[in-house]
Amino acid sequence: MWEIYLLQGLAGGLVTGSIYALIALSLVIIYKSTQVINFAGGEIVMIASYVALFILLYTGMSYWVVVPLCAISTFIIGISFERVVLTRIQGRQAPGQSVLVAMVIATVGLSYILKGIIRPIPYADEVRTLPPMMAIDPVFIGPAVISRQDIAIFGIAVFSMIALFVFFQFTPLGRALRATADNARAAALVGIPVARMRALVWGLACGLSAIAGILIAPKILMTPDMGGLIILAFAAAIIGGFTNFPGVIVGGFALGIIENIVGLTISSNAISVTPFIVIILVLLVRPQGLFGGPSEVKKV
Amino acid sequence: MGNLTRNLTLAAAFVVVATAVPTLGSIYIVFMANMILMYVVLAIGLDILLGRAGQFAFAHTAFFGIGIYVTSLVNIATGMPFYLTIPIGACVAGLVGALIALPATRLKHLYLGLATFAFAEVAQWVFNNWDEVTGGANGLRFQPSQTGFGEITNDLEAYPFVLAIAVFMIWITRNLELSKLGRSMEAIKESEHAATASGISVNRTKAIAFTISAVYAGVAGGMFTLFQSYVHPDVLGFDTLVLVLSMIVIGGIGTLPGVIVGVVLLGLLPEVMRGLETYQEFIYGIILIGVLMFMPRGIWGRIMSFRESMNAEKPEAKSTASPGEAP
Amino acid sequence: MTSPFFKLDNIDVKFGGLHAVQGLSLSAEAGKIHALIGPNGAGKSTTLNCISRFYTPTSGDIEFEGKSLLKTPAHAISGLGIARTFQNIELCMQMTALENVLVGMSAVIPKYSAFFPGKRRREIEANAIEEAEALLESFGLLSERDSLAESLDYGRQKLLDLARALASRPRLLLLDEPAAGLRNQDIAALNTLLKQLASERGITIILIEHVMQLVMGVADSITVLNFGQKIAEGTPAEIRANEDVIEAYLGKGDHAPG
Repeated sequence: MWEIYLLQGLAGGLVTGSIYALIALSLVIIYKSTQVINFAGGEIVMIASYVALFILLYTGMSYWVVVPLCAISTFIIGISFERVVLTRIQGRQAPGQSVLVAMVIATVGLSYILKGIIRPIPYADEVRTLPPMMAIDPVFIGPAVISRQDIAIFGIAVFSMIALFVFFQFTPLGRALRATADNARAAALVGIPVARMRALVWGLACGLSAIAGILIAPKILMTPDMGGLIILAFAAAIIGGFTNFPGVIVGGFALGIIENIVGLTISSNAISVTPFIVIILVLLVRPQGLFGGPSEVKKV
Repeated sequence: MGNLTRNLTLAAAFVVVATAVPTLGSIYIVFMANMILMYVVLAIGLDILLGRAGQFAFAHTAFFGIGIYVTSLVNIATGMPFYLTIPIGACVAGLVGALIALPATRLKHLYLGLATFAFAEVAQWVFNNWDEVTGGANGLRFQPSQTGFGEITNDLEAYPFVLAIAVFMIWITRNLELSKLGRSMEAIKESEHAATASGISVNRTKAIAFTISAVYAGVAGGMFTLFQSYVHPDVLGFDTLVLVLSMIVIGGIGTLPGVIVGVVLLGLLPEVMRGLETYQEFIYGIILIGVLMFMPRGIWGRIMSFRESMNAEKPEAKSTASPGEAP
Repeated sequence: MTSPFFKLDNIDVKFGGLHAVQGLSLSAEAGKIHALIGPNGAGKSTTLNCISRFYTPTSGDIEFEGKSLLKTPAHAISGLGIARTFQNIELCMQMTALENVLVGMSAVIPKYSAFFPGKRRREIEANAIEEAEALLESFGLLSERDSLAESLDYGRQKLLDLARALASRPRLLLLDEPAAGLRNQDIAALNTLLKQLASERGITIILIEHVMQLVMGVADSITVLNFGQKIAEGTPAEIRANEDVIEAYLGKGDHAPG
């Protein structure tokens, strides 16, 4: 009997987990490049879903058009936020921790702004959901059931991750971004426009979140508060050590599966607290995350 | 402004607040005053941990909740006066704070923030689901707080006590600022190496900061039970944390007057924005980002910089902002 | 008064595969100045960090006033009478000069004074401030009492770092490249200051330094390290003439810019 739970948890978990992994990647990309924890990550996802909703409802364009449009709009939001707000905060204060705190709180401010934009809109006062991308007819994997759309979601998510990997590893721009993340000063010395790279990173990460948003919106109910799911991305990122891409992806899948299994075996009530327990347990046992490197040696 | 003038001004302000509010204000204004005083204590508690000791820890609402539930439950169970129930609530909160301080000191910024945030969320989930104790999602109805001479049945009756507690906590904070412990907390924020070489145990100071911060939150929780009649776990979540955090940041992180300014401003904000509720979130986010961009030290920091530039023009003027001077 | 007697006994420090310090023994006499020199990477800072207990040696012993320091945690050495400065000037930049010195006095101020009754607490604070101000004055920093540490120029910051260390009334002072970045006149002043601390106050000083002008001027004895091992030890005159040292490190000139 429990094998069914396990298999169902596995199948469903891989689907949602792939989305968590995607959002987690966007968090980690930003963190690695700018040391900022983007608390607005969930709201970017939310905005993307609503933009998709409006486009789909008002223009009837197909998903093929919607996805790039949403990605572009969040890309713009990301770049603008970095250029206008973050750069200024960094310039205004004496270097040090307080700058980081300020930038993180700024992302909280951004999350409120985004929520504040959507909430007054008439469309937001009811719970919505995106029209399905395709047929939702069930597909059986052994005794487990997932929908055809689920398979598409999984596929798109994985494809995005692979595309991201290829981008970072094999394209000049991707390499430049990695260089900036690794050592900004050295990158500047070899002529990489660091400030522009940072903005690009934000844009890229937000664009990624848009894809994740459109993927997850059909599976959950859309509300202006759906950004709360960012905690799942944080949990996934923590499992992966927050700086290790493959680890984070594994973390995403792991979290999706754990979530599903908890929901199936314990209670649906316990689902909401699962990611937090995971975070606490992981950090208690291994403060640097499961895949993070060895704990730092103090250097004097 | 010399020391004497400053103290007189503060005393005068206190007298005004203490007498004008209850006599001239409507019951609603008294309620607002109670709320603001409570938030002052809550915010100072977070500032001690975040602004002074430099620990990015966000478990504050959990201790707030512990203070609320323990104080009200002890009151319901025993009817003890508030000057016993509130310390009990604060102690329990402090104890839990000390407990999470142990693993917390091992974590670095990012992870500390996320772990404590996760802890706060778990705490809220517990408050929401532990029906037998907290009333769960139905909330908990309080019984009137006891004073030893009678009951507190409305905001007006609660006010003098809320005010007294707030003043007491502010006084303690001032003493802390000017003490070795206060300096040690700032030192570990500035340079752990210098602190260690100077004889300060970084881990112990962090643990103390956590505990003190939790105690403040617990006291604020106790204050909550004095003038409120009911609590629902909804007020013990991330939104409240962000509110308190914003108060600190906007007012002036790390400074006592700054925190108070921030609390008053953000506490009055919903009033100012009457009729604009739907835009409240948006405006709030704009204010937050605006202050971060243009006033990195908060509003109070801005005022202090202004004062310093005024003082700089007078060569004989002694700087008034010397935190090292004895009271 | 017990005579400060300090020695390193066959210290070994390994970081993973890196053998940073090998079999190092040295001793310092009370009221004397002992310099530790050597090329970069020789293990000088590692040794200093061991003494101040930021690192723990893999083997060997550290003895101070007859007792082993190995079990002492880093934050406790200040209370034992050992203070140090840092190569990177670890100051509390957002705190004032006075506050930095007060921080340095942490081991001397009674614990938990924050919780003492009002009058006693104020008294403790006032005394501490008085002592801190006197210390600042002796360094010529009293006028900067209320200035943020970050607003001071480099030379003054170095002095403040030293003042912070002296605030704990140490009997053993560990200095990590105190002359780095200083102008010649400041080095001369430092020279005088260190000699004063040793002879008038009986403070034992162990210093790491590259600036030979200072080393040769103040040291009573010098230990030379190279690749983690001691290659020579003796008076400044002996060291200056020592072939191994010259070969390893000194080269032709003996005044290296800071």
